[in-house]
Amino acid sequence: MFFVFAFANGLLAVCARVVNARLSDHVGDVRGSLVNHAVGLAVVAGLLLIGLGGGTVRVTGIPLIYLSGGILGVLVVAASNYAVRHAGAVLFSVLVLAFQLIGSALIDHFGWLGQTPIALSWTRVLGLGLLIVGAVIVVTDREAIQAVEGEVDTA
Amino acid sequence: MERTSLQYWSAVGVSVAAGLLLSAVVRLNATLGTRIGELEATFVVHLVGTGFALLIVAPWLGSRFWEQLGERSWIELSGGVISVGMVFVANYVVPVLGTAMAVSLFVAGDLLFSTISDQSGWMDLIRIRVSRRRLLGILLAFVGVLLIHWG
Repeated sequence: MFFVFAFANGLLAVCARVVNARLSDHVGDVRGSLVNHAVGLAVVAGLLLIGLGGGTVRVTGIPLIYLSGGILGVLVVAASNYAVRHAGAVLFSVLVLAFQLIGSALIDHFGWLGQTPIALSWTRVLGLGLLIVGAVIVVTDREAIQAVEGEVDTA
Repeated sequence: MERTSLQYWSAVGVSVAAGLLLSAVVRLNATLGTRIGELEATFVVHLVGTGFALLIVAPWLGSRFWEQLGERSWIELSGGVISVGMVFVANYVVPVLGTAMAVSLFVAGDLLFSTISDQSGWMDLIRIRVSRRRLLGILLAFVGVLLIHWG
């Protein structure tokens, strides 16, 4: 059952991107991101109010950098809204995966953001290499580029 | 360069930037979660995000925006609910399956359903047929993820 839930989370991720992209088609990419965050905020606030969670939200003493995830999140959702509409969901998924894992590898290797440094293993380097080759193959797929151009021409 | 090509390559650029940003977002939010609690961190992330987005778009939030929003179906407004649901599912499965297995399954689901979405043009978005070349790229990317998490 847990395997199904983990797999289904991938479906949820795609659904979130697609519905946000559809909304941003009408209201704009950043305003679409605003709606996404405001709705999410209302849902989490409701969950906290009914008693899920620890009871208080205390951020005193937390370094400001750890509060900046929301700011970067707005930019990521806006980027997703733009990319999914103009190049499709697969291209966004593959590129985000590749560069998220490259960024994570750099953070681990150099110990950025207060992390304990973890040296890159050869299998991890090979995995990143395959991920990059896969992303390049998807991005340079001429059939997909022609399909995107065709969609715009016939719109 | 034609406008469409420019939009395509701009989409490639913002996707790369989003991936790099996301690697930082995941670490920052995870650290916040360990300090103040998972749900509380999700609340703070959405609160800060909403405030920041409001600051950026405030000059463009006229009555036209609210009219446009009112015309949209509830499904198009559900992205925020789905995102919160994903946090819950991740918190539920990661302790049982472990990060490597949970992330591998998540990525498999993401790539499969992204492909189905493009192939069928979900929500009247762009429709892109799955070519053999594209399938090869997706498979290589997935094997890369497996090596990174299991290697």
